[in-house]
Amino acid sequence: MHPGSQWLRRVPSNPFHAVCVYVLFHRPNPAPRSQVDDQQLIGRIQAGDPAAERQLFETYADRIHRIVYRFVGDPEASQDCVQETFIRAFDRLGTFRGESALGTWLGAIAVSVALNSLRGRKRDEKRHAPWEAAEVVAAPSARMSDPDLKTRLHAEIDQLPEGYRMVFLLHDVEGYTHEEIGTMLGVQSGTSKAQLFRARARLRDRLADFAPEASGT
Amino acid sequence: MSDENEEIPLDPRIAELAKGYNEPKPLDRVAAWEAVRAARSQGGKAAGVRASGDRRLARGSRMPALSTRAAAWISGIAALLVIGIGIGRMTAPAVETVAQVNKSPSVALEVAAAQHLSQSDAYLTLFRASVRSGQVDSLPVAAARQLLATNRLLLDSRVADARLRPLLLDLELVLAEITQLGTSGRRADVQLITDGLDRGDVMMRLRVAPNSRSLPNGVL
Repeated sequence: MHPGSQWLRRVPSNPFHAVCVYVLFHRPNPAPRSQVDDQQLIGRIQAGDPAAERQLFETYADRIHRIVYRFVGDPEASQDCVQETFIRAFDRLGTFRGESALGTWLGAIAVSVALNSLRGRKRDEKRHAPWEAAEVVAAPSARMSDPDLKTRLHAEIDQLPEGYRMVFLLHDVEGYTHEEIGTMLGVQSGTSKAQLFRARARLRDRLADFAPEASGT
Repeated sequence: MSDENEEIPLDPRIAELAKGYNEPKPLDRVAAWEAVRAARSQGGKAAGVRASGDRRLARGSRMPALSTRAAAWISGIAALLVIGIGIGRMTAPAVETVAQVNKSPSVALEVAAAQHLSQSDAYLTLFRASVRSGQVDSLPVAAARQLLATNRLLLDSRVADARLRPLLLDLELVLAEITQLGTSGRRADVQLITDGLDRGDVMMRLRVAPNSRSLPNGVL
């Protein structure tokens, strides 16, 4: 007999006890957010419910922060981007038509904000020193240890063209689908696939001299 | 294009190391939310005391509110225009060519597509010439954006059939890359774009496409 069946036989027959047992032990799996949830949330925000605004922020802040941090790479600038993203999102919430998931729509705003932030800064300033250091250690035929490869890889990601870099980070690092990326960047999913292909090819090419296993062939 | 859509994954070790790129540090959620809230309430004050819907509209558009008198004038002019256009449409004699075009919108789409392809051809020719002369910075990026917008409209239309769609997709990629070059296009990026043009024979296909009705699918 299955061990669980012993427990089932001991479930109280009294309805009150049954409810207590259910309340104490029932742990529902958190359901993924549906478009219905999002539409309800938007409706509440548009009706002027401040708690709903906070709820939207709490639900999506981390996801937006991950996207902008990957692009910007600086805690303060990332926080500014998150704030700007939500300010814009609240302003434009009336234009959200539910054609994509709310998270993807917010992601599109976040990408735009992060790119503006990046273009406003001196882009290569931060990675300049590590890049030089990487060139010193990047002797051909030398088998690199992981920290060296990591430094070099990160420098190479920095050097990717903007479109390739965004698609690579969103797909390979953050795990978004090409359809989601297409919506966020305002391109076809095929363009996203092609840019990812080229980004990977370029990384493979640039890191091929490190070690045979690093070339990915 | 089709080859490029086959995803070849990165080496697992590189893929794992890539996850450490700009690894996010924890967000100060409280401070971030306070800043958002403050900005929203500040926007509300700036726009004056209005209903919440109006406040959102006024702040979102960043435009000064119109006075009632100006709004009335604009509404009046708009109404007059609509009435004028309506009368004009009703009284205008039926022109055969217009009727024909209305009956077959695909003809208009094909004309638009042909025009778009020839403009793209001209632009990309200009791009290559600029690359050769080392004056990519002087290239009008706004024109590439305009072409990109038209390209997307065509991709979403009926004209993007199995024959033309691959070319439009390749064209979108090239135009998107050019618009992303910005004013300080790096040499490597420019080289990648020209490589893409050469590899996909985009220029040749652009020139063939307008007269390609007789070609079988997959040729473009």
